[in-house]
Amino acid sequence: MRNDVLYVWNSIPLNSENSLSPKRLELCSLDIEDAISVVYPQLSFCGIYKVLEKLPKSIGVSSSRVYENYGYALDSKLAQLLTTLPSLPAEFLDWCAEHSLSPRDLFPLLSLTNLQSVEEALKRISSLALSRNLGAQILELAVECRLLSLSESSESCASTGDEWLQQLKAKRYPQTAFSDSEKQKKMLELPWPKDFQLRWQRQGDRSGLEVKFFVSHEKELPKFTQLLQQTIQKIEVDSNDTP
Amino acid sequence: MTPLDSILKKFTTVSIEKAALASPLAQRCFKVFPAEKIEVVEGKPTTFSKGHMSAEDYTLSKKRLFLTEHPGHFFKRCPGAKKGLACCNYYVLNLGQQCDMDCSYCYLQSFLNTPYTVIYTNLDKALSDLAELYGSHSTSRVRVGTGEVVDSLSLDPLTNYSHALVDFFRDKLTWNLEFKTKSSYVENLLAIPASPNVIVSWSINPQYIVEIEEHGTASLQDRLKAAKKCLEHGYQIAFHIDPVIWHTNWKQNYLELAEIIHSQFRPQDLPYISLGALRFQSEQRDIMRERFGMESWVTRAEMFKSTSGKMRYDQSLREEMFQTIIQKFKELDPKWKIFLCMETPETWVNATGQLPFKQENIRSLFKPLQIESTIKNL
Repeated sequence: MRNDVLYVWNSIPLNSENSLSPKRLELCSLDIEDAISVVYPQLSFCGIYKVLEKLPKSIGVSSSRVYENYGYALDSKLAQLLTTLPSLPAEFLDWCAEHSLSPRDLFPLLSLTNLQSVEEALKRISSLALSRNLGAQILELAVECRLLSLSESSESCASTGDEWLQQLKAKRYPQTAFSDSEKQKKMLELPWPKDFQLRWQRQGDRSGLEVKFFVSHEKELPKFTQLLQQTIQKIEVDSNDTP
Repeated sequence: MTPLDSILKKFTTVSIEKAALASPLAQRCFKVFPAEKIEVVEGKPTTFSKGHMSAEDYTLSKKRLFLTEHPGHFFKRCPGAKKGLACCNYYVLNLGQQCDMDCSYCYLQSFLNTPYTVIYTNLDKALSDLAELYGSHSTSRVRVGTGEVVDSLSLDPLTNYSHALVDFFRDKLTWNLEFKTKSSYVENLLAIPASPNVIVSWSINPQYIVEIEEHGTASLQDRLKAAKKCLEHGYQIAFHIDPVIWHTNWKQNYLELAEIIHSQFRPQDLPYISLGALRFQSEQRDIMRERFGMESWVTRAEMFKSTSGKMRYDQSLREEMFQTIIQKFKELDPKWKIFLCMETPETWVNATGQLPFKQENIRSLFKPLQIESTIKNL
């Protein structure tokens, strides 16, 4: 699409955002569904929905054909998702379109009987201008927390997406959060050499301590292996001393 | 109500593809189903659509039966044969798609895209595929299961496929056939002489989990009673404690389950008991949430993406659950043979102390086979 052209189909502007443009291009030789593809060569699922919403209903556009032109076969699941989009806050839909959220990113919404219950969370996702990945993770966790009737009081204090995500995870996975924190405490209490940098990490279904040391020359390596060996010995001695 | 009656009641429509009309199964359907439920279709039924199924369509797919011929390969490697997982050389013979029971964790929810319960009518082709494969690998110890995409026995009152399968395997003693089920229907199997290489196995869980998560399945006690009957008739039997599901009383319930098994069976009665923890594809969460809400221990489970891509419990929790169950069995009798299903080598070592290849009593199950290329050429 050229930004300086107003595309028109049977006198209906297809990209009204360019309505002030002096250049007009008439696309009436095409079907309306194909004309939309010419004007918008790339559109996400929500992007298509937004474009179709702006068109007068009287045109009789086949929405399934438009979605198909962008690679979305309107199976029963997508058709169901489409019925939820009108109930979503406009700013959230804009964020979804802008960040090309996939239908799968939005499927968690289908488990809610009342979309209004997550309206505030959806508005916050858009106002914090989160990335697609972060926003999609938060969306799913927020839906699950809502379904589990977990309160949202603490996450409303989060000032960044990352902070919000961590708060939601702690709420949604309380046992794992507790067990991780216990394991972390135990691991960090071990007599690690001070030259080692330690960071607790969860990597998917495993959590553990990332141990880093910095080496500028291979001659320094034995020093670190000795330190590590001493640590292991201390741990063994301590565990033998424990009754 | 007889088991057949309950199947007849379950299905609201029966679509039979023209090409499958002459099959014994289609003929049987004409006899047992009311005429108004049956339609003959050319190709696929009119309501057949591809793509993701909505939760509602998935539920409906359990009520619509479609009989058709399977055009492709019936025989496949078990999905557990993946990089990063310790594989037990299991092969699957798919004689249909979809299950008439409704477990909350069922992987079919993210696997199927056909809004029908499909039963393939060309069983003869499946058996000829198998015969060809057996011809070139008759000395390999191959385990074939029919319960991956359908339950092996729950629809047997209608199909009676078990007879042909048992008869086929009767003289192929190096190969094992496994019927895997959560039903208690074994009457067809008991009506014919058993074959020692046929294993009838049950996925089992504590009765509490059966009630909460395994909808429409036989009770634990009925499954165990059916197993006893099969054992006494001369079949091998096996149990899969799979999926092990974390819940508030998990320890007590799984320890009790081990005691129940031990009180009713002896280690020499079962070639093995397999253990597997709850796992599913991440995309399955959506449909499970929609169908079962968050009341289920499965949907509310704390799951994380593992290296294999599936959602699993935290590794240390899995290890704790496996250790607890294995230790209980070993306390009851060290001769119980237990292996882990679809688990990483790390979990094997942490839960059992050794990799499966190093454990004398189950080593033979994990010995790699060389029949992949033959399957591809079928």
